[in-house]
Parts: sequence; structure tokens; C-alpha cells
Amino acid sequence: MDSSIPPIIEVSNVSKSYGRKQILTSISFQAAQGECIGILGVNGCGKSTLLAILAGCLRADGGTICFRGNQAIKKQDFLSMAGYVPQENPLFSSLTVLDNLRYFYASSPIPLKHDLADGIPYLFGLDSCLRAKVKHLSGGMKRRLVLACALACHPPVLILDEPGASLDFVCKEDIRQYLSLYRKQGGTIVITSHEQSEISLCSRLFLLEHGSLSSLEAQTDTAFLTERMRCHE
Amino acid sequence: MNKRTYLLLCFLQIKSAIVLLPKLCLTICCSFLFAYGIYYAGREFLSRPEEIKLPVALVLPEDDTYTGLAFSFIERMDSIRSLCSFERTDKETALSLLKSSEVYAVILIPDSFVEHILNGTNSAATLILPRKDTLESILFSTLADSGASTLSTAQSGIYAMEELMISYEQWDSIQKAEEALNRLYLSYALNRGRIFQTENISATGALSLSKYYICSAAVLLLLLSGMGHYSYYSSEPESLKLLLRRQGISPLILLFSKLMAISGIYLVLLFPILVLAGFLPISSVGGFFILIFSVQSFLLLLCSICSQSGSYILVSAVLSILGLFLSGAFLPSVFLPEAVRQIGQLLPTALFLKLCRELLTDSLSISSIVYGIITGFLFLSTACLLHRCHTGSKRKIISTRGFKI
Repeated sequence: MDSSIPPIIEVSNVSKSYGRKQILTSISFQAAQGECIGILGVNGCGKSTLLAILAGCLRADGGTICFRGNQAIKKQDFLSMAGYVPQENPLFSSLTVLDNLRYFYASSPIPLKHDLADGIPYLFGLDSCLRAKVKHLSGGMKRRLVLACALACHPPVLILDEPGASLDFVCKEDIRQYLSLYRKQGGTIVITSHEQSEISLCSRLFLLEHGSLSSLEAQTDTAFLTERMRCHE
Repeated sequence: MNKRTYLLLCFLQIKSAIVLLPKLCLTICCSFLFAYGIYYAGREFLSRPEEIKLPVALVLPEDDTYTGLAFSFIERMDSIRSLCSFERTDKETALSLLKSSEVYAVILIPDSFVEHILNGTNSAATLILPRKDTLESILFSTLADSGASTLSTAQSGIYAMEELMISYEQWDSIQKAEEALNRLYLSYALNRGRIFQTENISATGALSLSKYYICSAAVLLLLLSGMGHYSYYSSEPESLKLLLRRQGISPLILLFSKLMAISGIYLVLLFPILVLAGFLPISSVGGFFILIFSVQSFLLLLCSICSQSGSYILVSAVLSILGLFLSGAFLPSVFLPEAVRQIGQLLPTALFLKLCRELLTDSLSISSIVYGIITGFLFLSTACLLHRCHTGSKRKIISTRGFKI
């Protein structure tokens, strides 16, 4: 990583606790433009909490988060810099695909109409089911819609919490291909996953255990990771 | 928080509320039929005045013109007519009507009754009541006793006057004095209405019976029609709420938008119907909205307490009916025990009934409006607080490690 260019995202000594239970302790890492950071760990170790803090949905007890060298303090700082895809689909299920896109595009610099013609919603095939209610969509289409909503503001950083969970192979591959494209276009990804195909996208891997982050070798296979996690239980 | 984002959120909440319309229309129609049934029954009950009168059989002597004329006059008096209806018949028929409870009393008038009154012989009329005491027979005998005591007072007065005249040897003046005293007593007896004020005492207060039950049915309708609202109030997943918070839209703002949206739908749906039916004036739109808002906020609170749709339906139905009963919606509060009445006044249903009754009588007070708004926001805040507690407890479950093999 070139030290003259500030990292696109820099996390310093972030900590978080729920009551007496310490979830995260002095989490620090950086990511340059175009990098894909993978955060691995057992269920319940705090990965989703860390990602929610990076996205600005939760407030850390301590530490700082900087985007392009500027500390993110207000919610607007996070909104303009990071798109967030949580584990559960954050959609208005009783409304249509178009209504959901309209809502998330409300704060986007690019009009929805433009992106429906040749942007991400078009790329994901959402233009063909705009009037469909979200509750009637398949899991794969919902996930595509969530991704499109997260990318509505065309953020430079994309934060994904297990994007391929509960999806079929075709959908997983589609999402993986898009993430690869996003990275090639200069986007930075911070991802948690248990899928080999998504882990293989990552340029760097971290293991979150007992509230601390430790670096892992890249391109690590799941068998090795399983063994590593078991050792630390 | 972006204003445009917030306005769009409100618009989307209205759209979500519109999705509820078919379910809402069905429950409102069913409840409206129920309410109309109550109103119709109440109206029918009140519009048949002879039902509340005491039918009495009257046996008059045959060929006694004076007695017949006197009783015709008495029957036409407003004070008598409002209480009794007389059926002239013979003795055997009268007694059989009494036995079959078609009349509540039988009056047997002896021959030359009026002549005997005028000449001081005073032959007594016979009042026959049923063997078993009923409310009506007790009422009638009380009225008859009251009338008899009035007559005996008049009689005593006339006798006292006669003795006085005799003691002063004014025999020539007795006739004139009797006539004057008779006229005086008759004027007192016949025009008693002048010296009495009429006061209507009703268990339903200032409301007529039909309006009382219309209010009860309306509040019951508003509460029960909300049984299908669980999916509306709880439709957003936690992840969406997180994202909304990220945009500066807190759970409080989200729930407030939902409340306003659904209240608006109710207003648009029900208010024109109520205005056209003549129940509410157009000027009561604000008060009606506050009533709906407070009811919906109460239902929102129940949604926050219950974790499932089934439990919410059960809880809301039971609490609504129980609350309305304790607040005097089905039986006027005056008939309930004192402790129950005190409890009932503290319940939210008492506020809803009060607002509804004031709207119906076009007497909505500022204090009721303020109380309604405060109660609505109190329920909303409590619902948000409960939501935070639920989220916190869920977080604890998520952060527990998985099982070991």
C-alpha cells in the first residue's frame, strides 16, 4: 500500500461492549482503494457488530473511523462514503421494488431513472420487476435489490455482511462477479463471509476472535480456517 | 436527517397502510353492522312510548255519566297520560287481564262515586294489584297511595273548614267556602307541574341510550379493527431499522410516521361516512383524528409487548373488551361497583369513550384534546422503549457462542 495516499478506510482502536460483555477490543486495520478485506470468525464473535460500526449504524464506545483521512463523525459522513449490506435484507417488504429503490435513491446524486436505464439496477435485472412486491421476490432477487440499494449513492466503500448466505450457486456467482467488477473499478470492499468463493475475492484476511483482530494469510482455504477457529475456541 | 428522505418515508408508510385497506374495510363493515344493530335496537326501544307506560284496567259503574266524564278528564291529563294507559272493561275481564299480566292493576269504581265525593259520603274505590309484586305494581301502588293521601289532605281541609264555620255559626257560608276550597285544592292537584321542575336522571348521563351505545360500538370498532395491524407495525426487519437509523430516522420517528399514516387512512375512510350519516359535524375532524391517533398508539403499544401476531390478536381483543366493560361502555358506570368504576376511569378505554362521547355531542373540550395527544405520545414513547429493550435482549442472544460438538 502506497503510504503517500491515505487509506480509503482506516479503523483505529475501535471498541464496543454490550453491558458488561466486551465484544470488540482495540480493533485497528486499514484498507486501500481497490482492496478487499475479509473478516472471518465464528458465529457470535462480533463480525456483524464491527461492520455495523464501520457503516455508521452503531456507535463505537471508543476509537475512530476515517474515510480518506477524514474522521467520520456525523451520519452523513458514513452515508456518502460507505454502502452497507447487512445479513438480513433491509427492505420494505410490503412495498414494491421501485418504492424501495426510490427510497434509497432519495439521497443519491444520480437519479434513479438514469441507473434504471444502464446502472446497477439494470445490471441486476431489477428493471424487469419494478412493480413486484418485495415479499414476492426470490431470495436471490431480494439480495440483488439490497445490493442495488446499498450502491444507490455510488459509494467508494462497500461493507457486506455475508452477502451470499442462503443463496443458490447461480446467485452467489452473480454477486461474486459483481464484487469483482466493483473492485476492478476502484471500489473497496469489507466483507464477512463463510463462503470459499467470497473469501477468495479478498486481498487480505483477518480473524476476529475474543474481540481482537489478527491477520491471516490470504487465499486461505476453509479447512485451514476451520481448524484455526477450533483451536481458539 | 434529510427532509426529502423523511417525506419519502412518510409517503411509503401511507402506501403500506393502504395495503391494509381490504382487511380494514372488512372489519369496519362487520363492526359497523354490529353498531347499527345496537343503534336500531335502541331507537326502536325509545320510539314505542306505550311500552314504558303502566296499563291499568278500569271498571266504571254502568250508566253513571258523571263518573265517566270525570275519568275521561283524568285520563287526558298529561301527568296521568305519561304514566298510565287505561283500559275500560268489566270486572271479570279486568281480573283475567290482571292474572295474565296484561295489566298491572285493576281499579273498581263504585256506583255514584263522584256524587258521593261531592256530598261527602266518600265511597272508596278498590285497587286490586297482582299477588306477586312487580316493579310496575309497586310503582302504581305508590302513585295511588300518593294520590289518596293528597285527597285525604284535601278532605281534612274541607272538614276542618266546616267545623270552623259551624263553631262560628256561619252555616250559610259553608257551601261557598267548600266550593272555594275545592277549587283551590283542584288547582293544586291539576296544576302540580307548575310547582315542580322536571329533571331527567339517566344512567347514561347527557347522552341518549342510542348515542351511548353508538359511542361504545364506535370505540369497539376502532379497537377491534386494529387486530390485523401487527404485520403493519412490525413489518420492518431489524436490519432496515438499523439502516434507517443510519439516515437519522430513529425508531420513534419511524413509528410516529406509521401512526400518522394509519390514522390518516382511518380518517379518510370513516370521517366522510360519519359526517354524511349525521353523527359528526365537519368541524370535528381534528378531534376525530386525535381519537384515532390515541387508539392506534394504544394498539402500537400492544404490538410492542407481543412478540407474535397470534398473541397480539388475543391480547388486544381481551384488553379492548375488558377495558370497555370496566370503563362503562356496555353497562353504564353507575351500575358497576365503586372499585370497578374507579379502575375503569384510569384505563385508556375511558379516554377513548370520553373523546367519542364529546365528539358525538359536539362538546369536545380542550382538556380532552390535550389529554388525548399526551396519552398518544406516551404510548408511542413506551412502545419505542420496549422496542429498544427487545433489541437489546435479542443482541444478547446473538452474541452467545454456538454449541460445541
